[in-house]
Amino acid sequence: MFGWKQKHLVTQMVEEYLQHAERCLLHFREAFEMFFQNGFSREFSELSEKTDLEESACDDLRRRIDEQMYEKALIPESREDILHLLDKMDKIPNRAERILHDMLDMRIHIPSTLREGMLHLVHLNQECFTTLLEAVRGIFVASETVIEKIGMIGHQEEKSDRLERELIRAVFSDHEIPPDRRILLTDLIRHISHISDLSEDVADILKIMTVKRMV
Amino acid sequence: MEWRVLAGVLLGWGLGANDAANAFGTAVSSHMLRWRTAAVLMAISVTLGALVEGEAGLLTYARLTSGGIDDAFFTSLAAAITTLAMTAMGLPISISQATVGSMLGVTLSHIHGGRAGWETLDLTSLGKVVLCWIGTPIGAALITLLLYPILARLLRLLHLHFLTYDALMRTLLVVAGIYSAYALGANNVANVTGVFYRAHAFHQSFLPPESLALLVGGASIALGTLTGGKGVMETVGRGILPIDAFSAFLVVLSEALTVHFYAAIGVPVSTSQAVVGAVVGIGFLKGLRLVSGRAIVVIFLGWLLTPVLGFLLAFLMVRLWTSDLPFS
Repeated sequence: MFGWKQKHLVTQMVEEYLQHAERCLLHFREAFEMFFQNGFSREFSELSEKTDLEESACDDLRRRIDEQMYEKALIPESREDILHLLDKMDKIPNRAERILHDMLDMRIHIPSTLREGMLHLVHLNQECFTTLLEAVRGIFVASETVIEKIGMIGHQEEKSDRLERELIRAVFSDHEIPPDRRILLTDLIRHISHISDLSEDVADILKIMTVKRMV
Repeated sequence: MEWRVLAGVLLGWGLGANDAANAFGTAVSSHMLRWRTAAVLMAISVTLGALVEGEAGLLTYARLTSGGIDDAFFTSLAAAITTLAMTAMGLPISISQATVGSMLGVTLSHIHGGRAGWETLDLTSLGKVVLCWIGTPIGAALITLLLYPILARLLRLLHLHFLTYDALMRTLLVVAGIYSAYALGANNVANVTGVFYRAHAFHQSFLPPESLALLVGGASIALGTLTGGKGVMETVGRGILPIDAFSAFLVVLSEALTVHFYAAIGVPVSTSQAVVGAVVGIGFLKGLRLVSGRAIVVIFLGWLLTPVLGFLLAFLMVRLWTSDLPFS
């Protein structure tokens, strides 16, 4: 039988991973809030660095979890499920880090007309990720709320998609934005909105994990 | 011991190689259990089942046949060829049905040739055996329908962490696999050495004849698992049960309970037919068609053809052996 110590260790490491991922997306959100207040300020760069650090911590931890899973005699089905889940999930902090890097490197200027909508999009996607974290935690504590959370992620992803299209339409209807910047802004909007798409992909894996163990 | 018992050993080998998948297929194909561990557990359990509870089946077969060692040899040989032919045709096989069909073929061949009277045919025992064949998949399906809701409710009450759930499922699959192997040994050992026991092939030994018959039968099945069961366990296990771990456990448990029940009343039945019944039961509970209509037709065809083919082969073999041909 799977030992309590092993189970506790794996659960603890996954929780640690979730905490880093959560902080990563929180700094990502704060970075955008800061950007819309002060533009490319020192605080924005600091928050971007914090996002990087949390993303690196996620990578390290995922590798440690991989090693732990293979060293310990974990049941293959549990091992494959956890590794597959974390592998997919890891794309989200990566995405957040990349968005901030792109903003800094390309010095993307966001017109004031788009700011409110963009901030809303960032909030929506960060909240979607938070719901995903709750669902992941749920599966580790035998919560019955997992399926409900998965449903919520679906709704949040739909909202994000709608807002993404509205924002892209707004970019292309604003004749003051030069064509090259339109492309950059469209990419930025799509990258942000992709966070909820990725969250939905992870939610699909969670759903399979839950249904497989549903009696 | 008589050399012709080797025909029974061959049949036992095929039985062990093929039916190992029903007990441990899911656990091995899902990598929950190493093949080597499964094979050793299977070999021990099957031999134990044969030794502890296999005698009732031997006695049933003793009532169905009255021939000597040649008849026993032809019965086993015809059953073994039937098994090979059906497997080559890709049809599901029941060694119990092949053996009983062959037994009947031998007996009727003697009656037809005027070497035995109709009194040698025990229709009451035969009727009981055929009824049990029909009852096997139905029984397994009913057990599944009964046990699933009870055990599922218990499991839900436990609110298990998913890692604990997986570990519990692995343990349950292993325990059910051991029980299934035990039931297989107890039930099917008669197919291997039952006819030879009746023909007194085990009477010149330091062991009591029934014990030697059970030991040889159990060991033959165990040998089949150890030397030929790996491929079948890894592939068939995956194919038969594309369902969740809990349902897979229920299927193995229901199959084992059914086969064990028939071992207790002394009628060798098919573990594969019990598995099909249990899978249909799971499908009924979940509102799914886990076995397609075409698969059901193929299964029924296999069930009908097996005893008929065994019967015809054994009938012809005995006819040829007892005719005035130069080789007889």
